[in-house]
Order: sequence, then structure tokens, then C-alpha cells
Amino acid sequence: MRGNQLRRIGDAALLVALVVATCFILIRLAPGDPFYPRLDDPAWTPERAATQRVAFGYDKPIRIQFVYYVSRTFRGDLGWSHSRNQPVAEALASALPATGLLVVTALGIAFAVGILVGAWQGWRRDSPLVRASDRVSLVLLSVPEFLIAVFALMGPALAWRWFPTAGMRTPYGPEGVLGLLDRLHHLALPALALGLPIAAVVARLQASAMREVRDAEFVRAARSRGLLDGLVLRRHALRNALIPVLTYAGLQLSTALSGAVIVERLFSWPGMGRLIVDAVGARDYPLVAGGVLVAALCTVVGTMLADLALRWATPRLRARA
Amino acid sequence: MTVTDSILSVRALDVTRPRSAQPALQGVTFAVAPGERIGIVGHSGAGKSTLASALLGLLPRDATLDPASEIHLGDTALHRADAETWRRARGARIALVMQEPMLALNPAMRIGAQVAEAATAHGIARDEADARMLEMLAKVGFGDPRAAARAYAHELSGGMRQRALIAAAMLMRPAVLIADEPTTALDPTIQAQVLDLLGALRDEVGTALLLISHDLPLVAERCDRVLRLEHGRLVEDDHADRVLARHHIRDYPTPSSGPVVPRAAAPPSAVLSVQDLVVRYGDVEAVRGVSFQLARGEALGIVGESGCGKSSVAHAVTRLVAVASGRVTLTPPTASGHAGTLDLLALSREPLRRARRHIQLIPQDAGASLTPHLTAEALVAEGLEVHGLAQGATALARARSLLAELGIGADLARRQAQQLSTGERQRVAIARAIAVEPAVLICDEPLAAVDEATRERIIEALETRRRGGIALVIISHDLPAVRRLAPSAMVMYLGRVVEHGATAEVLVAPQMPYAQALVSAIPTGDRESSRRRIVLHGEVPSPAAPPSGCAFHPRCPHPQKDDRCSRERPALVPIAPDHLAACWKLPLPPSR
Repeated sequence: MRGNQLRRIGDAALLVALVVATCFILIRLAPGDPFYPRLDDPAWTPERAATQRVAFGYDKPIRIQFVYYVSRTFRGDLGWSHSRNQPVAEALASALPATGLLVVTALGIAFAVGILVGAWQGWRRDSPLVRASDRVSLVLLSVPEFLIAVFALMGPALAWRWFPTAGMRTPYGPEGVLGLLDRLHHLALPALALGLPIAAVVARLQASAMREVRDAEFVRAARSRGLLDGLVLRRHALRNALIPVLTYAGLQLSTALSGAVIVERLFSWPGMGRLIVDAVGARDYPLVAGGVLVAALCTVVGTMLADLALRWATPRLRARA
Repeated sequence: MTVTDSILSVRALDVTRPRSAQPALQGVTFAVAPGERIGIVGHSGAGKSTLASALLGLLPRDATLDPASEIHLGDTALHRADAETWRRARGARIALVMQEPMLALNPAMRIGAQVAEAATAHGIARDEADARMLEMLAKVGFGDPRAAARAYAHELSGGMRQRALIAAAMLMRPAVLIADEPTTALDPTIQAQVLDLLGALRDEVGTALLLISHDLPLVAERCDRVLRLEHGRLVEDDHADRVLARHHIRDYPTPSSGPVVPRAAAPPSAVLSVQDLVVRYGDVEAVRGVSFQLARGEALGIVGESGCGKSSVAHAVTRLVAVASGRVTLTPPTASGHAGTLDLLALSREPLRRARRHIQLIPQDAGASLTPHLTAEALVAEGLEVHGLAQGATALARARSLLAELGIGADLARRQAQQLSTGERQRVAIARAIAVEPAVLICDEPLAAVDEATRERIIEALETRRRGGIALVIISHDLPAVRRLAPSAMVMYLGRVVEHGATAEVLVAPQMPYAQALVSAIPTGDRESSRRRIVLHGEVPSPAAPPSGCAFHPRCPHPQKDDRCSRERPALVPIAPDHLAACWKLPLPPSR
């Protein structure tokens, strides 16, 4: 059992290392570097760029750079962000909470809405309302999240002015309880744009799992004991119908993270997505590598959390692992 | 009997299914006195389970109860009741024990919670429900009820799972208990334990028992009255002995009188020879040194409880699982172009593929082994084409005639496998295996889950092939069928052969105590013999940790078992001509 856990952690570490190495190499294969001639800055001469390159070691072969990078990372130094003129760790630390808030809220909405709606759809087989809600989730599934984000910006935010269009909070806005409400107000649209397509997927999975469990023998057995219908649903059917959804949940953190890149850009959300996209544009190698490292770690942690949840729902797995 | 002195009375019960022309139940009328033991028998599809569902108000969504039907439970008219009244009756006054204990238990919920909820559902406080639950778990045979309450279904054996479900059903001391094939999914030596438990609880609580089964002798042994259903109608309602007497049952002989195929005098050279076969799955040794030989036209029955390694032998011999050690040789008839003996375990991919023509396996749950969207005839013809025995139209024609022989007409032969019934699929799987005219045919539980008529057909078809020269290996827990089909038999326990020899000896007058218990577990319909039955205590040990010495010693009822049994393993030694057994206490005094 212990050996198994260790192997999983080893696998996860290997995965993170591979992702970081791939990104490290790919971005260096793209044309340009952090010190590419800047047309708008007359003081930035090719000579100066060349000195900088040597100073930061970008004149060395990629494999040597990689060895340096790895050894520095293991010492806890993520490097210097050229485009932002601050340590990479600092830049990431400032963006991470915003993305965390957005992604966690979006996933919270996705699973809460998806599981509830899906469970309800699956439990009552066929009614006009079930069919209608199924259509809605099909539409949400087919529309990419950036389009949903654009629609959300155009309608509720720009045209009807129900929601703010950008940022995490009103500049110089209220503090305290009102400040919290202000933040929630800002959070609502991007979180929905990011969460609803995932909710649609979850709902469909949950509904089909529920339909299967509903005809299971143990559900019939629970009924034969005289349980109330609602109790049969909650206690017996739902928990077993969660298994396929939880299996899938681990994958959703990375989906949400990549979706966040676009949604953050559209809503000017000061998060990791925006940070990484900007860093790629500026060929800010250390910042890109740092961002990818954090994203990979998040995905691994998310998968592990989903795994734990799956074990909770499946006592059999606990015994086996 | 009038409505007033019966606890359950059913009048003109009609259940229809819109999608099928025939009603599932039609005009079923009977009454049950308090504490009465009633057996309900019939073929599969006769409406037994539909009747159980109707009595509990749990009919499937596509079935409807005719408004003119009447179901009275005590003084409650359930047929007129609303959902809430039904719910209050279920579990409290009328309870159910189902066939598959593994499926009937919620895999994600502790046993204790599932048993206790039968009480909390009917308004009993949590503490009181837990106390009753622990008391009931002890009563149904859990030595440590607290540990059992904390366990999950997968941590219990099949027999213990069924005990837990019986505890849940009996928790509220219902007036009526419906047991729907409660032991069909259990091992033969466990069946008697569970049925004894049901009987004991009935005696104590005074519950009326409706025992549903396809097995008339089993029901006749345990019930006062038997109802027989046929095509949804009640065709017989009489005293158990009279129903049993009326039905000529040649398949359920008493152990000493059953028909047994005789063995050929001098067996010719072996077609299949297996020596010291060992199969391991990880740390579990499923087969621990099995040897046997099989000649042309011979048949060997392999019997034993689940987990004893029967199926692993079948899979190892056909090289579907890796063999840890041992030797398997196949000598196909020379006429087919193959000369000499094939060392099956040494064959590489292509020679093995060709050799497979000569050794065919009908896997367990064979219906599920058919690709669902292919037609029956295509599935059978496929084997002929793969092995180059016939092509195209010729192959199809041969497939059709073979299917017809097994009772699958031209109509059915053109249907997709998924459109066929379980019994029909089973026969298609058999036709597929025998189509290529193998030298050896291995059948893993060929008769499980088929009704009486199909069972006869399959037995006849296999018998015909054997006479035609195919060597058969029949793996089954259906001992009467093994007696009819196989002249020699082998009893396995935890991966080892414990008794081997002529069926007339091994399955009629077995010597090793486990084999004796297994044979005595077959219901005969005779209450006297049921009293003499050897009821084993305890469960089949896990193959992952087999007991030391004689693996059977912890459960062995032999009066003289001693230290040696737990220390040293007895070898399989001849105890009579053509009869081997592994037991330190042989020769035993004759058991009857």
C-alpha cells in the first residue's frame, strides 16, 4: 500500500518534470528571446541586448540552460521575470490567488449545478422539463467558453449593465462587507462563463450514471425496505452514481485552467492566464516556465484530490490500493 | 380459506407489459396463512419474479397492475393503496430477499447502515435501530456483529452477504417474507446453511415464507405448499409432496439412485493430458497442481465451489491465462492432417491459433461472449471460416443446420446476438464451439441460468457430440447434469483435486468429507434425506490464504480429524480401482 502511494507520487513528479521540460524547450525554439531588439526603445541597442543575453546565460545551448534552470528551481529560485522586472515567484504569487478564486468558483458552480441537475434528470426519466434542460446542457456543451464569455460581456455586462466588464473589484471601491459583495459581483460572469460548459458535461455524465444506478438491484433492495424515495435517491443512488463523475473530475481542473487563459483575458482578470499569455508574447522564458510549473502542479494536485474523492465513494478501491 | 384468516391474499392478479403481447401474470389467485411456508416454482419467464415485485409494489416501470387485481396484506387493501401506504408496508410487514446478494447490497455503504435503515425507514429512532440491527446480525450468524456492521459488501463472502440481507429483511419482523431465488447465486455447501437460517427465523418470528425457486426439489424439501406458475398463470397449488410426485423428475435422483453414464472399459490413448498444472494470479495460487487425462469420446466433470480453481483450469488449458508450471498436451485425431502430439504450452502464436480448432472453450456466461451486433449464424460461421473449414454460403449453411439442431430456427439464426434470450445465446455459443469439430470441448458452467427445456437440449447436444468422439470437460456445479454427461469426475477444493475417478464412485459414494458434503447438498425433494444432509459450517477460505495441511480441515465435519490434518497435506491416492481421494482418514465408514 505504501509502495503504491510512493509510485503514484513518483509518477506525478515525472509528469510535472516532462511538462516543464517540454515547455522550456518549445518556447526557446520559437523565434526571438527576452532581449529581442525593441523598436520603440532607441536606447535598447543590439550590443546591449547581446550583453544581457550573456549575463543571463541565453547564449548557452538549450541543454545547458535546462540544467541551470533545473538546479536553480530545486534551490527554490524560479528566476527573474524580464518583462515585469521582478522575481518570477513574486509575479506568480500576485496572480495565483486571482486565478485560484476564479477556477475554484467556476469548478464549484460546475460540479454543484452539474451534479444536482444531472441527478435530477437521471432520476425522473422522461418529462418535458428534463428534455428541455437536456437541450440547454447540449447547447452549453457545443458553444466554446470564449463565446459564452463574449455573450456574457455583450449582454449582461455591456448592454444591460448588470455586471462590471473588467477586473476583480471596483478601483477605490468599498471595503468590508460591501467590498466582498463588489468582488462577488465582478466574479459572477467570468466564473459562470468558465463553469457552465463544464457543468453541462458533468450533468450529462451524472444523468447517465444515475439512470444506470436507478435500476440497480441495491436500489430495489433499498425500496423493498420501505425507504422514502428521496432517501433512496440521496443515500443509495447518488453516491454510487457519483463515481463516473468523480473519475472525470480530476481532468476538469486542467480544462478550467486552460479555459481561464481566455476568460481572464476577456474579463481583464488579473490572473495566471493573463500573466502567462503576456509572458509568452514577451519571450519571458523564466516567467513562462514558472507559470507552466505552477499549472502542472495544480493539475497533479487536482487529479490526486479527485482520486481521494473517488476512494471515498468506492470503498472497494480503498481495500485494493 | 377466507380473506380474514389469511395474512396475504391475492385475487385475479393481472400484470401486463405494453411491449409484450402476453401478460406477465394472469388471474393469479392464492392466499397465505400466517406462518405458512409456500414454494413458488416455474421456469424462467413464468412470472415468479414479477409476482414478487407485484406483491411489494415494485413492478418495473414498463409493467402495470390491472385495476381489477386484489392484493390484501392483513386488512390492508394494497391494490387500492397510495404510494405512502405501500412504502409503510414494504420492509415492515412484507419484506424481500433477492437473488444476487452482491448486487443487492449498496457497495458504498456499510452493512450495518443498510440493515438498520430497514428500521429507521419505519420511524424507529437511530439508537434503537442500531441495537436491533446488532442483535439481528448476531442472530443471522455473524460472530462479531459490530465488525460486520462496519464492513462493506465486498469484504464479505457470498453467503455472509445473503445473511446480511436476510437480517435487513427480517429486522422489522415482517408478516410475510418473499425470498426470490435466495440461494441460486450461492455455493452448494452454503445454500443449505442459508436455507436453514431462513427456516429458523421463520419458526422464531412466525413469518409466512414465500420461497421462489426454479428448483422444485429444493422447494419441496422446505415448504408445506407449492404453487407452480407457467406462462404467468397459476397451474398448480397443492401440497409439496404431491406436486413433487406429479412431476417426473429424472434429473434429481437421490445420491444413490441417479442415472450415471458408465465408463468405457479400457480408455484409449489420451487426447488431452494435463500434468501438475499450476496457475497463479499475483500472490494467489488458484490452481495448485492438477493432473488429468482425457481420451476420445470421454467426458470429465469438474465440480467444486466458486474459487476452487475450476475455471482457471479451463482457461489455463486453452491458454487464455498464463500457466505458472505444468504440462498440457493435445493429440488431435490424425485424420485432420495434424499428426502427433502438440505441447500446448510451448506453441507460438500461429501454431497455437491453428491448434485452437482442436480445443474449444465455451466460457462461463457464454451468451456474453458473443459480439452483440453480429447475427447468430454469422457468429457460428466465423469459426468455420477462421479455421478454413468452409467459406461464405457453405459456412452459413452449416452454421444454420447446426443451430437448428440446437433448437435455433432459421428465424432466430438471422437475429443479432443482442436480440436473443439468455438461453438462446448460450446455445449459439455452444454451436459456435462445436462447429469446428474440435477434439476437446471444454464447457464452463454450460447450464447456468438456463431453463429446464434449454438445459435438456444442451445436455442432449453435448451427449451426442461425446458419442461422436469429442472429448468433453464439463465444469459445473450442477451435479445431476455432470452425472448424466461425464463418466469420470473430479472434485476440486482450493486449487487441488481432492477426489477423482469414475463418476459412479466420486459423485455417488464419495469418500473425502468435502466431496460428501458437496454431493449431499443437492436437493432431492425428500425431507428425510434433507435431514441427513451434511451442513458444513463456516465459509470457503480465501484462495489467497489457504489453510495449512489439508485445506479442508477447518470446515471438515469428520469426527476423527486431528493434528495431522492441519499439519500435513494428504496426497491424492488410489482407494479403489479407478478412484483417487486425498484424505488422511480413509477408508471412511460408509456414510449411509
